[in-house]
Amino acid sequence: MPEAEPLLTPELTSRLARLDLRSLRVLPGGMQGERRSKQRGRSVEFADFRPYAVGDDLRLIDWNLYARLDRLVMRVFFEEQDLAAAIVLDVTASMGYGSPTKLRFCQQLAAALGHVALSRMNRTGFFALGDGVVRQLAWLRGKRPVAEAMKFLGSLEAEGAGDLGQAARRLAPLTPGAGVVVLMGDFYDTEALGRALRVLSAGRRDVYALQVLSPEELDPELAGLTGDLRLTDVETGAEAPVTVSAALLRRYRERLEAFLGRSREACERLGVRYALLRSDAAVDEVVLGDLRRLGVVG
Amino acid sequence: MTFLAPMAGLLAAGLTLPVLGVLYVLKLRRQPAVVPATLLWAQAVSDLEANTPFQRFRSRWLFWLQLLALGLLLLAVARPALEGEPAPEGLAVIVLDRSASMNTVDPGFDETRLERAKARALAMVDGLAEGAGDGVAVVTFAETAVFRTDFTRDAGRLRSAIEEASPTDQRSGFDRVAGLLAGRAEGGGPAITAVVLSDGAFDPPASRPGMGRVDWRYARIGPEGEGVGDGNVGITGLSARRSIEEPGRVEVLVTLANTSAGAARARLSLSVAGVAGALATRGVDVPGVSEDGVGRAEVLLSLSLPRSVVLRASVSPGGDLVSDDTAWLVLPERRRLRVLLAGSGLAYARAAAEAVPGVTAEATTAEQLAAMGPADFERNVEAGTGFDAVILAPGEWGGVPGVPTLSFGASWPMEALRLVGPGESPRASPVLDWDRRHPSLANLELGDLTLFAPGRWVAPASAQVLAVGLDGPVIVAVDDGGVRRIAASFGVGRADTDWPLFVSFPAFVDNALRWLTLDPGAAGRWVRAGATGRVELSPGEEGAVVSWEGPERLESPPAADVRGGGLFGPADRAGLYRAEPSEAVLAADRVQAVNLCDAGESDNRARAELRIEAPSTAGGAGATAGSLGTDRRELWPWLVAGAVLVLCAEWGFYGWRSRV
Repeated sequence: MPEAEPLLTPELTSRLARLDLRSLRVLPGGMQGERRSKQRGRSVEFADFRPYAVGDDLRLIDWNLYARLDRLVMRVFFEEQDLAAAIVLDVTASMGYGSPTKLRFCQQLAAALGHVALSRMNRTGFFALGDGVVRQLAWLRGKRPVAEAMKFLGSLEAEGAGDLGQAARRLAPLTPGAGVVVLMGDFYDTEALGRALRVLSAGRRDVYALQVLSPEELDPELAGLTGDLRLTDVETGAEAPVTVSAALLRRYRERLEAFLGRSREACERLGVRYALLRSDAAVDEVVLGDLRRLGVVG
Repeated sequence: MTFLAPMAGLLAAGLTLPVLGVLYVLKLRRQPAVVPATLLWAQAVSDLEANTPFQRFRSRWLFWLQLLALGLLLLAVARPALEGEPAPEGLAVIVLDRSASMNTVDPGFDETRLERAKARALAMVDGLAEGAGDGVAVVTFAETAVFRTDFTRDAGRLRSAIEEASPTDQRSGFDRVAGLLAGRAEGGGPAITAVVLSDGAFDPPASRPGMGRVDWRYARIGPEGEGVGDGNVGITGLSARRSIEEPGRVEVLVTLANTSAGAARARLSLSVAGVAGALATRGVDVPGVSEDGVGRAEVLLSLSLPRSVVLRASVSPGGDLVSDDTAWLVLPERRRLRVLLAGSGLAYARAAAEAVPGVTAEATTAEQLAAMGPADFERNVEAGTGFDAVILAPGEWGGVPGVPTLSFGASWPMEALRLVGPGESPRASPVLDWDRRHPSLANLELGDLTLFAPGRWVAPASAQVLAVGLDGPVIVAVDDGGVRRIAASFGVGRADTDWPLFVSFPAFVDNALRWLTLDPGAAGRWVRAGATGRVELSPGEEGAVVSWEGPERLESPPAADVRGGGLFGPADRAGLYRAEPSEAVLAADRVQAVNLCDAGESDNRARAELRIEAPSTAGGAGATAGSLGTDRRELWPWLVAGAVLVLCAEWGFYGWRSRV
């Protein structure tokens, strides 16, 4: 059995070294980290002055101001905390479609984001959603568990069916109230996506929705779908007898555009950053390009 | 177009058409394919929601194309075929009958049989252009048979020959066709297939060598079905003769024939051609066809016609053949015959000649006869001069005049004709045999008479021996350079024979004079279509070319005999023909009547089969010509090819619709 291809290449890893996860807002972290928080604390980033109070750390008194004002004034610095990042993958059966499969692309993408997050000392959790939370690896911190994370991601398989909304409700308690949630999936159930986003974006979470579709889904001609076919939904088993024709393909593309529009609209309605990604795209280009423009990394 | 297997086609249609319909009502059998979600497809495909095994029929191009292809295949199963004329194969002859019966217009048709036969012949030639064949010739026949083309594959020549075949009112001379083709086949080479396009209204041809090498094919041209037709009533005989006792009185005999199954009531009318009004009309009941053949009726009419007239006889209704509905007859004015009796011993002969009505007899001596020149014999009716014939007495004559002669015991220098005397021991002789068919001896009994010392004739082969005694010919008829002569080897004196005591003697003299002089004016005359008649040219017009204007324009060739006669005909169509210029012909011959008058042609019932007497055919005595049949060109290969094309188009259309 050939050894599975690694999710990240050394070249990509080196290019990811300069990146860090970003959140739209300054979110409170649970532990000290490398990210400025709104809380005051120990860091090198000056925040403000305040009068000295008994018990304050004398090392933070600004002696220059005391010389000029004859008052003890404390220098206050921002606290540097870590960021809780939940990388959520849809691992239902539909994600096994495409060449390469959407799951494979999401695994690589999650690996890249996980590597960035862990490298920046962020608390990082990996969640696989199927019918509920199928598997999870949380919470990791630091570079040491990167290999464990890669192994976890590599072990994920697309199978079964699930409701994204219900899965999100089960996922929410497992994640901190503040943090970044990167949700990857094909989001075929727009209504379930809306429910999931409402759950996940509650609290102080910055949610990114990455809709991944395979080239074959975006252009069925690539899948060789011609003639009289009986299409079977890989998750529900529903069958659709179709005669693939040019007219039908035109209607399919129109429906696809409408579907993507609804997905985008559902995200924007909840302030969720949305991006449509092709499963055959290069991961480094997606991370350094699309995700950087989206603000996921920077 | 006919279907050779209609039931098979209907059965196949009954089985397959519902199947095709059900296939379009049933859902399609589809290839399975797995997709991440059918959501988008479901929204795109309207028939996604249908879960029943049947769906509403919707008109689709594919369905109609498949239906068209299936229809073509079903038609092919039914084996449709176009019926046409078979193209002649090998060495073939298209024999086209253009006799009078082919002018019949059969019920249900607008064209004559000849036109239909020509159309079929042209269709054969059209088939020849596409098929194989060593060569085809065209023969047309009526009274005579003519090769219109030699054997050729030139369709243009064949077509021209067929199209130029014109209708005639002549009889069918199919025996001549048989002779023509048998002679051709007998000469060796490949066998000949003769396709006879005819109604078969003629007698079987005589058997002759070479007939067995001709494959006769009969293409019947006639009404649809046997015994179908309006029937035909026509004039099959017309004759007129002036009364001997009363030359101004004319007895007209008209024979009618009826080819219908039942008796026919016809109206016979006699009139003078070109004059309104009828001389006589008769209602005639003509019996129908019986075992003896077509029904016949004869009508005898007595008319007072002292002058020369052209009689026109017509019958109505005449049925489906027009050619025999009318007949014409030229009745010249009767003129007296002037007969010269030369020599002695002709008392009985003179008495007999003078007893003949309309005959004037004069006597002369041998010396006076020898002194007479041709001008003395030149007949001038108005002046009453000249002689129509001469009766010669026994003796040796140095020469005979250039008019017909009846001689008794006379001899004269003539090549190959010699009278041998009775010799030294003559013996009496009866007349052992005589030619009862000859006009001069018709209906005469010579068995009782005795010739006491007859000589005998040594006659040329061309002479007709009319009577034979114990020692040889005693009466002969010779053609002396176009002049008729009857010569008896005995005299008619009391010591020569007892014949003058018998009634047959004056009858013989009467008959002989009529035959010798052709008895102008005694009977009406007409010429059968296709036959040749003789006309008397005016003095000085010998060798002139005379045109005849009538139903068609004819030109007579130059003089045919030393007597200054000319020829008339042969004419294709019946009717009256007038000489042009008229002065070139004697007045009595300036109008010529041409008739069909043939019972065989008037019997225009199309024969079901054609009997051929061929020595080598099975049975020897005769065989039936094979039916020509029809050339069936089956269309199923074209239909199958069309179905394949439609299926290809359907496949292409399907591929174009399904292209991605």
